[in-house]
Amino acid sequence: MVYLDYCATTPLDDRVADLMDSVEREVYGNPSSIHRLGQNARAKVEVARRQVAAAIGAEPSEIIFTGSGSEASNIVLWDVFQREGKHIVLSAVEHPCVINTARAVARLGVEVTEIAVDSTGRVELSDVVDNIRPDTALVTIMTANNETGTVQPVEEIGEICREKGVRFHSDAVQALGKIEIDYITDGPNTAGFSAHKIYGPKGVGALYVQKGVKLHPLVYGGGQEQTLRAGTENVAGIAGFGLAAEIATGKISDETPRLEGLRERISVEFPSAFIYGHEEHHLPGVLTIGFPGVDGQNLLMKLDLDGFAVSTGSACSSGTTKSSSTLKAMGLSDDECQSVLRISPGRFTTESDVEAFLASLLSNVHDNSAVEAMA
Amino acid sequence: MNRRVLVAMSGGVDSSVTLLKIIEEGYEPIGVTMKLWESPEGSPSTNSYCCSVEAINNAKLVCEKYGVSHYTLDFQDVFRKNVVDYLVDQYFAGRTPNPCIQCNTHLRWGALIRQADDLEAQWIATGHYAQIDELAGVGPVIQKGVDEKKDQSYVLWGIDSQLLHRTLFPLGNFRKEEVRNIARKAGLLTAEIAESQELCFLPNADYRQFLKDYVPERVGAEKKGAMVSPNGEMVGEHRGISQYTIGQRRKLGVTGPVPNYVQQIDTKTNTITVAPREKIYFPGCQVRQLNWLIPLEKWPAGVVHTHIRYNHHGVESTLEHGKDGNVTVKFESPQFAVTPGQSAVFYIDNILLGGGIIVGAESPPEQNGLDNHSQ
Repeated sequence: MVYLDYCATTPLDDRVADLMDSVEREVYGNPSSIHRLGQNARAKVEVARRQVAAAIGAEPSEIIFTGSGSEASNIVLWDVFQREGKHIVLSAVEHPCVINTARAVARLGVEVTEIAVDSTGRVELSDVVDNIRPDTALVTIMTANNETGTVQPVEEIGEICREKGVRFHSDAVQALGKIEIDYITDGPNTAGFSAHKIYGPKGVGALYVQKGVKLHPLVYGGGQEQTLRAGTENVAGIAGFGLAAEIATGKISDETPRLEGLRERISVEFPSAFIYGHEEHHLPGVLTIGFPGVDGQNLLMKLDLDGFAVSTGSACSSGTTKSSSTLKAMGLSDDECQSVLRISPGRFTTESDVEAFLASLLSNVHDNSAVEAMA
Repeated sequence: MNRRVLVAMSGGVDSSVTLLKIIEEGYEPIGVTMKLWESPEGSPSTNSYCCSVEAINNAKLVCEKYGVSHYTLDFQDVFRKNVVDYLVDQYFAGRTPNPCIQCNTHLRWGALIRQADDLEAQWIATGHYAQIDELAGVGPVIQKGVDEKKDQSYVLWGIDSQLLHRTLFPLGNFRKEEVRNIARKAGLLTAEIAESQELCFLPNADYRQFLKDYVPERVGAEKKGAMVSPNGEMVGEHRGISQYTIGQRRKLGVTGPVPNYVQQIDTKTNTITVAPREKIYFPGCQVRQLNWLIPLEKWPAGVVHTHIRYNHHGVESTLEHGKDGNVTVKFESPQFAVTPGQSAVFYIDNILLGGGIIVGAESPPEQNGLDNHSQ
């Protein structure tokens, strides 16, 4: 199987797997315990905290480990409700962990304003300015989009929010370890991250909380993670996350041109296809491509049966195909949405993988077009 | 030529064993679950197993056990249009539809066959209790399943005969209990799943409740009307013709020395005729929208039996073929509750000839003793 769905998740880095395995077996103490075994476990968590902080240019005390990137964003959005904030501004292309949480707090009385994106999936800075109100409690705009790879101007948005005195959150799950992100000077006040998108384990996330920013927890309990996220720490997972963040960040400069080369190699074969997302500001390697008249779902299945794993828009669990709200926000029709494939190569993708994939994609796209044309 | 088969898997025991048999017979299966319906939140059918996430996941687990790919196919639009909306319209037109037949014709031997084309699969396989056999000079034909209690050939008359050579029914020569035992022996997690007696969108087979939930405004706007005896005497008021089916005894609101049954639904005059049981026997019916799986001139020798509803035992019949392709059926003995909207399905011995939709019952001759049929 050739895996080209790194935006969905990534395989574990061997070094991360080895570390987690040894921590899981040997470092079984509770990080909150005072004895030696507890100290061992605490050390693993705190090393990881430093690794994740370093990866984003933050202080270790600004990193809170969570159970997922979704949980990280949930904490920030629910906090608006908990501190009786009145108004949230978000973009139309947010991940469901932001959109659906915003909808949930909206049902409890918080007002939510969604700002549009242009055809590349980027927000206009003037829209951000115009939609911030005196009672706005939070602006939340993702760093990079999971479906198109489009990267938002988060530093500029951060500047606007700082001037207006409004808190700014960014779901940065797709950005970590793929592009350089600097949050210390101009970025968001809070940001969400996930380990499994960067060759770390599933079920571990982190929330960056800028010094001085106060949040209410979602999970109350024993005071772990500066009382912001109770529950005994997932020590092995957190240790794996730390190492994965360090490795991925160290590889950005080498991986970026390589992945862009693979992306180019694929897209050049399809001159009549539509490529969605921002030409310049996108995640390295992510190719969101629409084949007019081709059903993306069928194409995905055919590629899968040929041994190639890609994605259409977003993964779905219930078996219901809905047009991607991200693509619709970028102005695509339902038909156009259904013809889209997301191809996301990653660290273990080789040139020969891509060549083999291209052979299958070319034959399946052409078969499909022929069938559609006859119908 | 590949040996690829799309195996329609509902997540129940029958379709699980279907997969097992397809593997044993040396085909290359792809498991698919058709997502047909999502019950509105809070409606009584929300808990039904069919099309549920649990059912889909059980199908996936059975496939995974044998290393078979599984996909969920979103056919909700096709289903709503061809099955649900058809069903609703039929009830409001005073007829009693059989949605399983529509579903087979438009979903399994419609959308699923098209999916098989897309995935270059030669066959589809389903867990119907029916058999495909070669008939000399004809080609593949459908025969009743060997388990006469479970035989499902009745709901297969609407299939395009050209698709029979692409159809596999691996369960047709098994009895239900044998199928369960095969599942138990193979350790399938679906082995003990209870028989589904209902359609995914009709909880407790309660179509009246479904109409109220699905088209409340149509139910509300439906006119009440007269309920009369066969000689035209007013005996009560009906609640709207969608609420009645031929042969119905309960909830008529008519009292008398003997129980009354719905004998006739007249949409033109918005009248429902009720009568004692012995007047609900009809000597024949008119059938339209016929589909022949075997051309008339190639029928085997033998007596035609007509089944006028699912689980009907069949009655010896004489068929008069009209020039317009419609058929008038004369039963050897009058039949209870011949119901417009239901299917008349024709067999010679165990061979399915074809069928059509009953549009009207032949009026019973007046004044003849029918006591011997009042069982």
